[in-house]
Amino acid sequence: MRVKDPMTTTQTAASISLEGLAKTFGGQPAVAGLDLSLPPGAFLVLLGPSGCGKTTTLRMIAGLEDPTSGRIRFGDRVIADGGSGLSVPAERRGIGMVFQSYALWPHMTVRANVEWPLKVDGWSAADRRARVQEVLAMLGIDQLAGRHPAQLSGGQQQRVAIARTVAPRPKVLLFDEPLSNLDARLRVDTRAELVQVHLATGATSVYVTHDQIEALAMATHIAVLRGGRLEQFGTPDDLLQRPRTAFVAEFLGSPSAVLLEGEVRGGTLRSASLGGAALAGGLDAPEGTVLTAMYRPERLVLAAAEGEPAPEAGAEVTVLEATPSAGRFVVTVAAGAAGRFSVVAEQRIAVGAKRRLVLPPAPDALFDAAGDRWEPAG
Amino acid sequence: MTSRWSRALLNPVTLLALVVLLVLGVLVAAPLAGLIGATVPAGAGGTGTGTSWRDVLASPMSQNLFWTPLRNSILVALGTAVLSTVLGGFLAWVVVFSDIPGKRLIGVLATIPFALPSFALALAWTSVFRNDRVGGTPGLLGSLGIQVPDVLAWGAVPVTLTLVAHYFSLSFVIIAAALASLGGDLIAAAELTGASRLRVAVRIALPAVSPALLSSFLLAFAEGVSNFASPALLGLPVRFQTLSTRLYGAISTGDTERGYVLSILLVAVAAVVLYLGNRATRGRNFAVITGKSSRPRLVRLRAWRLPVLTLAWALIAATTLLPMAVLAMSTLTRRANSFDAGFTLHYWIGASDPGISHGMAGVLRDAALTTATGNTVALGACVALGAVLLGMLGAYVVRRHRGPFVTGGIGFLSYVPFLIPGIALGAAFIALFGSGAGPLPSLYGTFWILVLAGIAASIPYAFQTAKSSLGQVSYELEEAATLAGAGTGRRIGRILLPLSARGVVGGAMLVFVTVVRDLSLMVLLVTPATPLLAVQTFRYASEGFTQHANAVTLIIAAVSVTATILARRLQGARRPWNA
Repeated sequence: MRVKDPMTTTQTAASISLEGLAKTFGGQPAVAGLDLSLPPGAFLVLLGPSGCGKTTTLRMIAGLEDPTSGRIRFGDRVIADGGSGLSVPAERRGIGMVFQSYALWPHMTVRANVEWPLKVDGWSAADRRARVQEVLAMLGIDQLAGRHPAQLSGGQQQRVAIARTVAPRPKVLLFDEPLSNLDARLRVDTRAELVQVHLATGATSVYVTHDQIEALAMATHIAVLRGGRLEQFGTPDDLLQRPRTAFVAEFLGSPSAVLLEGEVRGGTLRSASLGGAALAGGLDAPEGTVLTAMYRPERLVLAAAEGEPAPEAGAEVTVLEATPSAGRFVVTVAAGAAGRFSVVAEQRIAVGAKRRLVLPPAPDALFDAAGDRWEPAG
Repeated sequence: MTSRWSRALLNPVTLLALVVLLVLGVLVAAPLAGLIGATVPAGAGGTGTGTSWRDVLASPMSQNLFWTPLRNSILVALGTAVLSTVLGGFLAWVVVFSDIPGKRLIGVLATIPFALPSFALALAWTSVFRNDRVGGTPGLLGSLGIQVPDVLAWGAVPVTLTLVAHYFSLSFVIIAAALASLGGDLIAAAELTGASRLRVAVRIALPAVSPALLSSFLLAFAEGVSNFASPALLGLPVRFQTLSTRLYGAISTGDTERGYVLSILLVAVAAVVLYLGNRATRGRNFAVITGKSSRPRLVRLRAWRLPVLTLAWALIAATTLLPMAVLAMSTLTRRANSFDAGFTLHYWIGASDPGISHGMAGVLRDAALTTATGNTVALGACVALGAVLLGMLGAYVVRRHRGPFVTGGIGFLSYVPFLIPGIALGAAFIALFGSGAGPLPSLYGTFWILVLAGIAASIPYAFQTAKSSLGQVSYELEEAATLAGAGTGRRIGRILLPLSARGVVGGAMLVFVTVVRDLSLMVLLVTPATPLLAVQTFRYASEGFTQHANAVTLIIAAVSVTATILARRLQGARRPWNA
């Protein structure tokens, strides 16, 4: 860990709230009505597959795009309002942003890259020198100060980008997939370092990624976006324990939750593709209702396949992959028409082996055909 | 909504967009409108007599005025296009795929003819092949006692060949770049099937570069149609007229309205060809873009080596080295193009002598030429500055502005002059600024009409250069500066300009060069009050001051070639055939 000195925060962090925020590009909605509010000092991850509107949302917060409708507030202050066309220019919002490509100015040295924003901000030469030295030392790149970006490795460029962003002590820090250009190992190291930078600056942070592991590792709050809409907003635990939609359940967690579809017959949800196995019982739902049962992967058991197969013993599955993970194994199986999914097993299972899938008595959640959480009436 | 509109108007990018559109409107749209307006009868909203279209197209005069020049233009252009593409293609193949020695040097020399003023090659031709048909001093061959047939001395053949010597160089660059971008893997994959070299060349390499061949053919055709210098020097004396010399003749003898009609027709012919070329090649770039570029495997020529080597060097010699040597030699002969009377440096440094050339001093001591040099340099600098500034502003607006109307309008107006032959653009500027129209002052005879015409002619190149230079600076670099708190001016000054400077300065130098060596655009606009080097050369050549004309041409050629090479180096253009 290279973060050495905690930095003193001189500007108080701001809360951020989005109210009905929407953006259309040439008639195509990119973001369709986001509502969320974030306490000061929080670390929000905007999470979703590509094209879900997360980067557009970040760029609206930055002021690089203007909303088509809806409002953005920092604290009490409205900084963008699509209705009236009001938009505080990006440079006056007191934000810093780390770009996916790092966006280091190639004609300036590392020192000049970090110093220039301070110069624009009107800092005195002495203050600038001290502050540049401080942030470069904090990120462990002070010996690189005289180099040009082209002479640095990807990881070093990333550090310079972070140093340049935090130097002017922004109230809000924005990150646009900053780790996506790093190799796997460096990504894990830098992730922890970013959290330390966040803690040290105390700035409210918004971080865009499509990598749910990054999100669960770093966030105090996660907003899952899909097709420009907010699927769920909450703490990482909320989202893992109480996913509001099937999409969130499947998107989060490693391995992701297992979703099995079934039809209600006489109060019991049965999966046709798993040989009529019962997924959930005692349901107060009309005959023929289609529901999806969600199981966390560690709750499914793969039993030996010998013996006479009884329907209630579980459907037969074929092992495709067994990956060691934290002392256990993530086993991916093919389950006929029910598709492929992963479960967690204590032992390695040979690839190609047949196993019986044993379901727990009740699923962790049920979702209706639209993918929303289904609760038994009453 | 009102606040939205006023906000949009106060946005610096929007303001800039309006300014750029206005300037482009005055420089590009207005002259064209003026040109057309001047041929429309007064009753129908124009300022013309209304009979000129019929005179040109359907009257007893029209054979002489239009149809014969049109036929000659097309004949010359077709010959130029075919020969340029064949010779340029041959040389490109030699440089990219063959194993002959010294191909790197061939590659460099093959790009030089295009940097030369096009009248240099025509003057070199007359210095060798001119015969006594129209009087005056004969060329080198004539003075050695060799009778040069008319067909080699004047008309379609010499005009076409001098144009080929100029434009094959353009074909070479286009085709070599395409061949080099094919990559060795594509050729190797074809060879591994067991196909013969010839079959690979015909079935794989040629079709793969067909867009480049087509585009080289059409560009050379359009240039052949619109070139003025070659037909003016090698055709006009024997009344071999092309569209461009015909319209020059009409306007310079006061028959302006018919000249304008001919200009419009010339624009139509050139524009149709260039537009078709653009359409045919758009989206048909077969270049294989992979991370790893593999060098093409070289073809061993074996027995063919000597013939190919000889042919390649002969081509280079005939288009670059020999013409320059001939021009240089002829400036040193006491009697033009003849060794009999001995050699002298008089035409370079001699003082005025009433016995020689009507008392004109050597070019380095001639006061008129000193003025012309000063004017030419000033014009080149003003045009380069103006065109690059306008190009940069336009490119910046297109980069930042989202409105399809604004960006489309700027893109279109910046492209249109590319379709207009220089001499027709000159005519359009006379039509608009000749007498002043509406709010526009009469600028004819001033330095400023030259500057404006030069900027209009250079804007397509300047805009493209600026766009590609700015394009190399990623949006995120600019946005990072925005978030650092920098305003528009500071962002442009500290981030965009430093990062695009090399490309832009290189572009400015190339604009400077095209202005310095330009004849066709300026020849109608120049008056005795505003002499320019290239136009002066043309006058000397037409009046028979061979040595003076050739000496000035050499100076222009030296400046052009040096600046072109410097600019290319500055822009970091790797030789495309070594990609």
